[in-house]
Amino acid sequence: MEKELSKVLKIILYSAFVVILSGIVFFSLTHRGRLIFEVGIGLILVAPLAEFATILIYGFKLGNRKIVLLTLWLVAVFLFSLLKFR
Amino acid sequence: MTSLSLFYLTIAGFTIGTFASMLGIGGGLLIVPTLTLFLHFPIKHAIGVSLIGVSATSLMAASNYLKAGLVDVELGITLESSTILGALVGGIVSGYISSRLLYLLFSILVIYTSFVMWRGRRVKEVRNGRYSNYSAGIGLSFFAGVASAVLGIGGGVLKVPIMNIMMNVPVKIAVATSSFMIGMTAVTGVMPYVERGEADPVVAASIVVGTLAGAYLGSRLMRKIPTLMLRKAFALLLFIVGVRMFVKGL
Repeated sequence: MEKELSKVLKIILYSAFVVILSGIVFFSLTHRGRLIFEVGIGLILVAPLAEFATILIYGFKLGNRKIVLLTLWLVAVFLFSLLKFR
Repeated sequence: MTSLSLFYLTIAGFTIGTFASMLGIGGGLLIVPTLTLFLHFPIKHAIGVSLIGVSATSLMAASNYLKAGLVDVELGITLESSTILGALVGGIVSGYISSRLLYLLFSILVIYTSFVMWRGRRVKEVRNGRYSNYSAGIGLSFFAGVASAVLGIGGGVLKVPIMNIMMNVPVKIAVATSSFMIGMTAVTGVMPYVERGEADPVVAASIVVGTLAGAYLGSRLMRKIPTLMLRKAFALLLFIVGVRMFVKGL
């Protein structure tokens, strides 16, 4: 599970890095492109969801009820925060 | 926002990322003072941006720790169950706290951290075994979450001692598990700031790119530069920053 989680986080962070970097270049040339920055930051803000999904999948696979229930609680609080304050 | 200010923010983020990585501290303690004292941002905006910066750097650190097998995922999500709630409460409460009080609270944290950095972190030697005091750990983690969201820090300065000293978690596992938790805590805590318009994505993006690149450089430089002297010098600098923030809050 740890190796998969590490891979998921790296993919998200590298994507966010590339998107934001291209946003900086675009902004420097045109003075526009706020949306690109929002997409980059959005990727970072949803990274925990990808973590939760990976942990949930492995929790089910391992049959570890404690991990599954705790992760569902984290998902509930996180989604509440995301949807209430977006 | 001009291209030049974007450049300054990226350079600031890069410098913060380099030093934070070399000193093994979260970026929040450096991002907030840099944005408020040197770039004259309102403190609540600085905290919002800091939380996004901290989540990016800690997610990066967590991915490395996960790969190295140092994270105890089960322990992490157990403690996170209350930390995430604390972060949500902290994010909401921060909207009602005055900027002056935030300056004072942050300055106390910075001065405390400067003392810890000067003295060196007290580590409890623990052999791998059963962890204890789960209920106290979960209870205190709630307050670590509140502090994280209110002050814009990762909260490792609180989480690591809770795990190591109180719960008998080996310090390497505590540091790695804390990094794993910080991403979830900071992202949850930042949402109320996003709603209040206190986390500008353009500013945050420049800081994130800078800190991520800086953290990469810092981890390489760490092996070549004597960190003890750097740590003492930085403790002094943090103390001065803490005093300046305290004065600003009066």
